[in-house]
Amino acid sequence: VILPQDDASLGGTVPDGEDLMRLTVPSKDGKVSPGAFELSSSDKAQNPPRLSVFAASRTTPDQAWQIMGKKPTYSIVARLTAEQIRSIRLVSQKAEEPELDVRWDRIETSLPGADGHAGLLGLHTDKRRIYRLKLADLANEREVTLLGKPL
Amino acid sequence: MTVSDLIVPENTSIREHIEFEADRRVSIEIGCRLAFRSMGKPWETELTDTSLNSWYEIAPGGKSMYESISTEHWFARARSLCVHIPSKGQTTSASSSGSVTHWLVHARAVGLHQYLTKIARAGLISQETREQAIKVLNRLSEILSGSLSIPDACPGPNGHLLYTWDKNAHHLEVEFVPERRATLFYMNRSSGNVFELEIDEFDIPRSVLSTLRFFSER
Repeated sequence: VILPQDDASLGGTVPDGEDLMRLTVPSKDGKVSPGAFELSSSDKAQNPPRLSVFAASRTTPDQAWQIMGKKPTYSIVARLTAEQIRSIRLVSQKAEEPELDVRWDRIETSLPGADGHAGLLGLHTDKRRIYRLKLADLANEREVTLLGKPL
Repeated sequence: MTVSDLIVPENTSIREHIEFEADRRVSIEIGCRLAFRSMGKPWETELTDTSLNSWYEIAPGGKSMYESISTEHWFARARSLCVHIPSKGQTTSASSSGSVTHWLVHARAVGLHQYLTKIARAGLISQETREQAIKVLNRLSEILSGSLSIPDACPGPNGHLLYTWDKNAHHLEVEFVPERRATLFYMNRSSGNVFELEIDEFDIPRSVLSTLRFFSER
């Protein structure tokens, strides 16, 4: 469902089975840090605030890297599924509605793989530190793909 | 790289010779003393490299900063030494775990400083944030009488820096955001207990001591 106040670029929900990639800087110990899921100031300026991720079925890691501006410091790919993201709950939280969600998010570029861009929503709340830790824990259970020479 | 990749030590220690100049700069000379047993005979040697000796700026309070010192360099030197050790009859006992622990803690501290320097040079954090992070870590370590383990570290967006410690269910973060006080965040993954507070190098409540103890090296 696209709410009227949402950015026009925001589309429908990404299917649970979709594998999602987040390009990030490796930590000192070569892990995915919780900081990989922190919103930047431009992420926060969107409505609603959201983090850039890419669907592995539509975008390759290299295409994602090109779209993200070829930053040499983005040298690892963290992976987790949309279902894993939606299943994250606070220990005390019993609500059935997921607090984190993933929706398709159209971006203005002609680069190949752009149709796999999506936004991870729900990270702008006062619980963000807990969410980003849980996201990093899940990502670190998976193999981290190296894009280039680690920092 | 692990200690097991090195020659098997009977006693390994890091020797540090430090000189202060007018409370402003510090000269650090580091040597590594290795003692091992081979062919039934004790061997002992000291590795030093004068190219590592140089003057470094020190932070207020006399904290030295081990910058630009490559741990890989020391490992490489130790490996080259291995070439001269007869393999036949070589014993494989390590009787100085305390010293080996010191080696690893030292290596992690050097690694952290190198990483912070790299990401600052890459423009991912400012020099001010790098210095703030070193000062706060030194202060946290002092509160725990020097036994706080060395954290993992990673830059975030907009010049943020995040220290993280993980031990079993315990997770600790200190986040640095430019021109703001740092935020300390703790979470117990099993119980879900969390707390967070703002800190800086001059103002760290003693109440965090019980939390820091989860991440002690001792």
